[in-house]
Order: sequence, then structure tokens, then C-alpha cells
Amino acid sequence: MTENRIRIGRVVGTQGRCGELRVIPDAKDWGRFKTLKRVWVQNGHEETCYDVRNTRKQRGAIILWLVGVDDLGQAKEMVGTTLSLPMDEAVALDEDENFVHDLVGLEVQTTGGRTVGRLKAVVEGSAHDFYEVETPEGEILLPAVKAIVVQVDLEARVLYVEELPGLLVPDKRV
Amino acid sequence: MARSVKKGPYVSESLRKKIVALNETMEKRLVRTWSRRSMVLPEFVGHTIAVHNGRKFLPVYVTENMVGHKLGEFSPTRTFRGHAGSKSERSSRRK
Repeated sequence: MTENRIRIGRVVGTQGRCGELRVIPDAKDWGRFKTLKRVWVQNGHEETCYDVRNTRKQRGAIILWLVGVDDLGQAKEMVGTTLSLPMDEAVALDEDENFVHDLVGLEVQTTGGRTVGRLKAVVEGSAHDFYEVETPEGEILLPAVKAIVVQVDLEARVLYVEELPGLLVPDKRV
Repeated sequence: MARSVKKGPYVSESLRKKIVALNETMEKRLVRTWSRRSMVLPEFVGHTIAVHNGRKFLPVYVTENMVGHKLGEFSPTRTFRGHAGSKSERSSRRK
């Protein structure tokens, strides 16, 4: 994928015999597929732009019908590919929302200025997400809530956290 | 069959004691528990409870809308980190 593209989903299967694709979206808001006019399909190093004929939601997936993909054989060849868009067409985020790829790699500091470590991954949870932070002593997890993670400064590449006793210490028993 | 109303909600006694002590001293600190079956009580709101998921402790920040649920519901035992590598629309919201 070229640098100025953002992945919006993965083709995981086909639907029916007309060439429809079953897509698992990356964004939490599935509504972004309703207004989709075109999409880039990446198959290995090859990228092709397709116009979108129709989209609908079905059982946790998006059914996508592209112009030029008219039979099951063509659709089957696209299984395993990824769908992308130019960066400027990425889904709009809320004020306290960030793309995971922007968060990963941020330096984690306490509000007092002490460096804790570096954000390694974002783990999805049912109540809130968890930020996995790599520290020199080991790995710690932070709840992605405003009460703990008080500020995300993407320009300075720093994430400020509240120093809660016991939270910033890795568990040595695991 | 649902739990008898007469008994009240189940909460691990040691966990309840720790939270009550923190509330009395108006202190905030991480409380670790293995008791996934304990129910979230209104006294827990605002505290961060590290709930064991079988492998590690996940810090759960308790909010009002969690009251009445079990702690284990907020500490997933199977985690999905997503597909790494490229820029994607996967996002994370601070609640």
C-alpha cells in the first residue's frame, strides 16, 4: 500500500453468485461504507481502483459490490485483499478518538513529567480500550479513559497519564 | 435460576473491604482482584480495578454504567490486537 493510503477493510469472502464481496471493516462506524464511491483494492503489490456499485450490512460484515466484478470467479480472486482509500478520505474522528497507527509508538509520560515507556499496542475491551505500554521493567496496561490518559499530544508524540499508585508498575508474576 | 434478592449482590469480601477502605481515606490506587464473578457496586465507581483474565491483570476503570455487571465482563480473556503493518481506520476512543 502506498504511503498516502489508509486501509478501510479486508475482503474475507464472497456473497452470492453475482460477484459481491464480504468485507470486514476496520472502522468502528460501519456507516462510512454507505457513502463510499470508489475504493482501491490491493492484491500483493498490485493496486486497482474500482467504483462501488452497492454496499449493505450483513451479520457483522459489509457486502460490497464493485463495478467490473460481475461473477463469483472474479470475486473469489479478490478474497484476502485489502481495501484502501486516499488519506484525505479517511473517516472523521471524534475529539477524543485517534487512529491506532497514530497512537502506536507514542512516548508515555506522567503528568509530572516522568517518562514511563512507549505505547506498543491498543487492545480492544468491552468497556474501554487498553493501551499496552513497553517500559524498561516490563509491560504494563493502561485503561484508555480520560481520567487516566489525560492528554494525547500527537504533534509532540507524547501521551500524558495520571500517576495512579500501582498502575505504572509491571506485574512480575505474569 | 437468578440469585436470591434476599442475599444481595455477590462481591468478594476482600475486594469490598479494600474499596471501602479507599473510600474512607478518599484515596485512589489500583486494586488487584481475581474475582471476576464479583458484581460492580456503586461504591466502586471512579476506582480502577485490575481484573485477572487468566493470564494478566487488566486495569478496568469503573464508571456508573458498569454497576450491576460482573467484573469479568470487562476483562476480555481473548484479545485481538488487529492486523499490524499498514495504516488503517482502526481507531481508539478515550472514554
